[in-house]
Amino acid sequence: MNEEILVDYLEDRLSIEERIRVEHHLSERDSSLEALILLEGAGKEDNLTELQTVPDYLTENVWQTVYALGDNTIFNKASGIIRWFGSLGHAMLRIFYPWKRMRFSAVRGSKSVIDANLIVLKASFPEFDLQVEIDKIRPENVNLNIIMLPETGAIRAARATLIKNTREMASYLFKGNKAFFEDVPFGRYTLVISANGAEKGKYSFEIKESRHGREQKP
Amino acid sequence: MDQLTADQKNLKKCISGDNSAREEFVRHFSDPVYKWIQFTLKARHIPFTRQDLEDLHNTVFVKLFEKRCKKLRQYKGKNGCSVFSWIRLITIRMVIDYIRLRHRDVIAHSETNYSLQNIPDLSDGQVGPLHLLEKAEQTHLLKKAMQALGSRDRLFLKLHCLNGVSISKVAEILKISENNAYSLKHRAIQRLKKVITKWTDNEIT
Repeated sequence: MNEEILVDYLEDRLSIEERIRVEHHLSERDSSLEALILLEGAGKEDNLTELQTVPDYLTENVWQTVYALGDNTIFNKASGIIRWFGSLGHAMLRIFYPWKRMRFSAVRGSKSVIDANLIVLKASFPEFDLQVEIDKIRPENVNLNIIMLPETGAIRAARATLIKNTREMASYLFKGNKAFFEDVPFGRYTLVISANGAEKGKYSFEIKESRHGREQKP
Repeated sequence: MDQLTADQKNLKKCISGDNSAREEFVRHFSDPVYKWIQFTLKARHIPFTRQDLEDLHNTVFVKLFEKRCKKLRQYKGKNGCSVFSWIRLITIRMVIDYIRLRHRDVIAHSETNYSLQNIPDLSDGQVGPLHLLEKAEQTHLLKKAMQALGSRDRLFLKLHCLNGVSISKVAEILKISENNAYSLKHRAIQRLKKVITKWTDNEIT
């Protein structure tokens, strides 16, 4: 039975006919009856006063989980389809023009290209330095490893938020001096570092395939 | 159309994908959900660890937001049911499901501890239909006999006799006065006696 109907029954918002129907259901279904009894008890503040309060870290973890669930809007799905066609086009280009091998590199603000699939970006802020490792894992996706330097001087309870256009894509608390974003699609991003609600630094960069790239000489 | 409450407005924003609304929703309900989980487990005398609490707490919010907020979309509020009460019942149901999966069925558990003290007329010691029943089959037969009653009588007996809910609380749940609840109890027991008597008479003849 629908949860709302049971709540409405308990809080006396149903017509007589509806009440009879619910009571018939409750007389047949022990699980619903049990839920109703517990609902009645849980609705009394006195029954909850001596219970433990939720720890802050748990709320934070749950928020991270909910954030990661994200939402599959039509726009996001359409973008995914377009990217798929794009990667199909690249694959066909390689078949017909094999000498034009694509090289992976970041475009803006890049500091060093380790190899075709790994780039390290560096940026300096007043209180810390930031290192962004971009590790290509699929044709159109990367993992981002965000490292705050120096390690011992990393800001406590700092958060890294990845923004695309004006939309927050993901947000994580730093564990030690590291934060990790998994499976990030190509595109332009802004990385915002914050702590205690205050912005500590902002860094914009783009992740894309490019024929050009500076190679770090060993 | 009635104005939407703050929770209802926020719920709509959560469904539409507003991340700040989702964060507000999580922070607003995190503590109540945590307490409702504890209350349900304690009310059913189920031992639990902090990890169990954390897992259940996480599961509630995942269930609400997964698959494009499928569960959240079920909320309509057409009779005035608040989001707060609705989330409370969802949490309780989830904990009940967890208990059924991980522990013995609590209704069955309460059956084995069933006492006839709440039905004094049936256990008055005089020669009557109850003496013809085997003690081991009492609970089973009583439940079967309850099935022959009307739904209101059955509901009353299940609440008061099987689940140990006090008369005053039963009156609150059924939205009747306490006097009516006592009358209901008396009538339900008399009807139960009639059913059992009829069965046992049929057995003898």
